[in-house]
Amino acid sequence: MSNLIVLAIFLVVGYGFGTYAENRHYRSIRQRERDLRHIYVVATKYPPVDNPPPESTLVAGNVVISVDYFKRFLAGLRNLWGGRVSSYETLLDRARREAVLRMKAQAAALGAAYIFNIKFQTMSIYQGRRNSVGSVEVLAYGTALYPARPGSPS
Amino acid sequence: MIIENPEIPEGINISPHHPLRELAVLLGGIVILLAILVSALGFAAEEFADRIPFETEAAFADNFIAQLPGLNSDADPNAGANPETIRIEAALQTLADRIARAQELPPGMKITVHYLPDDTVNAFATLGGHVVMFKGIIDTLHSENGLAMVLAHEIAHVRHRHPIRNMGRSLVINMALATITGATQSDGADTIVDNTTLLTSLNFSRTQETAADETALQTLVALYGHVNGATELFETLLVVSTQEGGLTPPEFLSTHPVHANRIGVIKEVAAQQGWPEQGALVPITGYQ
Repeated sequence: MSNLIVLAIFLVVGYGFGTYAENRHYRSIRQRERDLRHIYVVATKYPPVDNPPPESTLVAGNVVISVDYFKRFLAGLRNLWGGRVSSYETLLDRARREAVLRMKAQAAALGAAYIFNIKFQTMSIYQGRRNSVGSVEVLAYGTALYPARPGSPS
Repeated sequence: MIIENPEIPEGINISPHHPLRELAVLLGGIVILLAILVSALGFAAEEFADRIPFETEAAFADNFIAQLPGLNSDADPNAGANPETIRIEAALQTLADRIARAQELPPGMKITVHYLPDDTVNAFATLGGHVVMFKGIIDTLHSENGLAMVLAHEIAHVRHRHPIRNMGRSLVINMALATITGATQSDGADTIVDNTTLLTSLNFSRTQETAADETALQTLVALYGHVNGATELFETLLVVSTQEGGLTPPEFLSTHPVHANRIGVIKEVAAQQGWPEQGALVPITGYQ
């Protein structure tokens, strides 16, 4: 019985902190997405042919986010019934958007207007007990194009 | 090439359900499903276990009774035990045989009493008609009637085939649980699964305790003509637990109904059946 009480405490604490952290993160994500809207992120490999040709460089954004106890518990129950594991949906949504934002911030520092050939890599980097998903890493990377500086070799 | 940067609508990658609502649905579902599963499997397993002949059960029990420390196996009777233990065990066996006759045990159902000189306040019946009595429980009693109640209660468990039924049930349920907890891959979810199962199966166990109490009362009437002394053990335990300020677990969480409750039930059954509650007590001297 005492382990039920411990579980309940963990769930309440996990839900409280998890929800607070998630809401705060989403507010920050939305704000920075508005701020960096001027950078275009494109999946195609083939940039437009410009004259003079722009400079290009690899930009990448990497993030690791952990899921809270409550969501992990919910996902465990979901494993029995099947269906959308919605408790992990926000985790991956946040991780992808944060990775893109970090990549865009790097591009913004270069003065780039475009990132071409964007790609994602996602992996579960921490296996909790019995292989439950603990946290995910998302890496976003692409080729930033920025105007050639005068005098630089093209 | 025209490149656009459309604003992506918020929340398209996220299910609109509130997580607490999802928790309620999933948790409610699993608790209900488990309760049904455990009850159904338990019922089926008990019915099967009930059809196992007592001789088969006894032969099976002999394998591990011999391995329990302090219990004398049939093959090696009373080896190394002190004379006091042998004397009390023999006296208990005689009382058990009287109780067995009074309970009209089916032919072939043999009761073997084991006496353990240990202060643990406990007595239990296990597979194969083996009943274990600790010195500690006998010390709390004041009359042979009280002792006969405890012994008759344990023998009634054997008569109702409770040990083999419980073993069959827990075997089947544990197998089913191992399958389910293997699927959740989450320790938290497993806690829910285990506790639901525990609460569901405890209920069976308390029904059995009540049944054993009723049979034991009937035995007292057959042996002594009255049920005086039947509540001796629980009255002592009640005083002890109140004095120690110990926590008495709520009835729902306990395999045995709480002492005060059990005294009440015993008195109620005796009154219903018209069994006299007063009568002379036989001294317990021979058993201590």
